[in-house]
Amino acid sequence: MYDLLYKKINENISITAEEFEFCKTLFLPKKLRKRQYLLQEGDVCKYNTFVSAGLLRSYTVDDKGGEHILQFAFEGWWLGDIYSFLTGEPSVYNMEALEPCELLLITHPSWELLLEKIPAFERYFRILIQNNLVATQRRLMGALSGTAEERYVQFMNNFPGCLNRIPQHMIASYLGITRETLSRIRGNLATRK
Amino acid sequence: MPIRDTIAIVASDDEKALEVADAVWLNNQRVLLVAKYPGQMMQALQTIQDEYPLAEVEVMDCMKEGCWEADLILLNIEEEDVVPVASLIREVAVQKPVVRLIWDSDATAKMIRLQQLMTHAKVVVALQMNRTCNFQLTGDDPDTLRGIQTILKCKSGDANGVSGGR
Repeated sequence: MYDLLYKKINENISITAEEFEFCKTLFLPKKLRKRQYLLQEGDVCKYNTFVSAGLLRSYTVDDKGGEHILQFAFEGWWLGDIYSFLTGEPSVYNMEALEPCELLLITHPSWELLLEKIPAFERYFRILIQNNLVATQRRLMGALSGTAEERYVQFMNNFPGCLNRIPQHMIASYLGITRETLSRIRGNLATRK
Repeated sequence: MPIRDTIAIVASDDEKALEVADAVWLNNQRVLLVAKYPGQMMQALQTIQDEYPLAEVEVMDCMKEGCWEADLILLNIEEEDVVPVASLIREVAVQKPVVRLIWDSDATAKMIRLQQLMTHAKVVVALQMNRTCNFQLTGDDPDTLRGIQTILKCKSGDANGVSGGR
């Protein structure tokens, strides 16, 4: 249940076994079935979530019912609405399991306690936020100036081996392109190989 | 629309599961009836579905899996089952409210014992008073105590008695 969390933590910081045992006591283990929701628009995001197994998506729905996917979260990734988590304001996001998931959830008070008792986690979460900022900037620039094919290639590089797990219409939504364009791009890339 | 909470009811038999259903509001919730033995809980399933048509109810034959999915765990079990049940679900009950419903006495002692067995769960013992709708809640976490009050049934005009801690 906690093996991947331990592995991911140790990629960025060093903590003792005792510290990790304390860390485990602060996380709530939760299983979700496919299509169950972790968070719905209007609810407060009470948890920051580590994905031990499975796949989720975070998305919004516009006034016309169109879905806009912010993020996919695979094993080893963190997922949450940081604004809602920190402020207690209602979230604008929906977070849905695309596969059966095993999650570890931490509340804001528990997260603050973790940072207080094991200061190395300040560095850990700072690194996560840095990486997220870089990825967000790259995705933004791709959306502003990249071609659809460039965005798709970047997506393939960022999520190697995961394309088969995500429905095509969701990949298209994430990239901001139509399904037809996505099919054309995939066809072109396959032809060039 | 708020997400439905998932409530796991761990009971020794159908009758005890129905005692829990009589004590708490289950409408608009997702209810997992955790069976001790295969084939159990089918009568409880039907009764709860009839009483709470808006609830999503199913039977699960794995206690650990049911409690792993749950946001709230309700126990109505015999005393001799406390240790084995706690042992089985301890790992997946970390940081979760675990409410044991009892009808006799010694709520504080039972709460302490269960908390010792499930160190990092948020244990509450709900003692139902004299087969009425009044509950004496005993637990260490004020937020959990307040949360449990919202799902306990109460006859109109009666207030739940809450003791906030040992």
